Amino acid sequence: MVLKNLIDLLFILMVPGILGFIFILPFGMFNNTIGNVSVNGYEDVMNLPFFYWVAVIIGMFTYSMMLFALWFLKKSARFFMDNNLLKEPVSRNLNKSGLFFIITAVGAMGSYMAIWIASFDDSGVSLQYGSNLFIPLFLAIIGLFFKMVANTLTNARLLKEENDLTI
Amino acid sequence: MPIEINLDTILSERDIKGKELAEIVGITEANLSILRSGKAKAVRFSTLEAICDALNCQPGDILKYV
Repeated sequence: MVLKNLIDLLFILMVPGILGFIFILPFGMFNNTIGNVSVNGYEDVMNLPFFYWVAVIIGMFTYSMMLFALWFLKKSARFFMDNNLLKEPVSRNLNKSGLFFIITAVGAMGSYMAIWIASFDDSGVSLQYGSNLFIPLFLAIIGLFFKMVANTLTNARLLKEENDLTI
Repeated sequence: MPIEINLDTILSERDIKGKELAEIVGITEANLSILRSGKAKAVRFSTLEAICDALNCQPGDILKYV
């Protein structure tokens, strides 16, 4: 249910992005705001606003969670090579990987929120639409999908065990 | 498990070896061993029918609810 709603939400949010191709690209409307922010942040790193620091710390946490997710996915992938999908470690590690992808998604969303709040000081409150929002949503969808696949594989393994012990 | 398999007793009463029964019923010795040890999760009606036919007994003689 949550997975379906997230997929719907991501789709709805991404559709208006098509307008960007139609209206922005032909006119060559680009800006270098990101470049400026990066340079200013580097020069004055000790005096960053509080929420930028929050964003940096959450970003580091999110990055390590993503590494954990990939580590568990890697452990599952070993069994994919031998076509041993119904082994217990596959579903266990895939489930853990999904959980860490969900934590990564929440962390990434928190990091973007912190940057958004920090930008209030510079330019006042503003609503922004951009691809930054899609990444946490996509990560959450991937995480939930992995958990769903892990659950399906667990059920399949139990059914196979039962079938093997049917005389 | 509350269902007990009474196959060993009937086999000794009939003086039939497990290997022979497996051959008559058409299952492997390994599967018969799973059944005799009570590790089986389910028994097909066709297997039960073949065992009853081979041992000339009723399903109730093989399976017992404890």
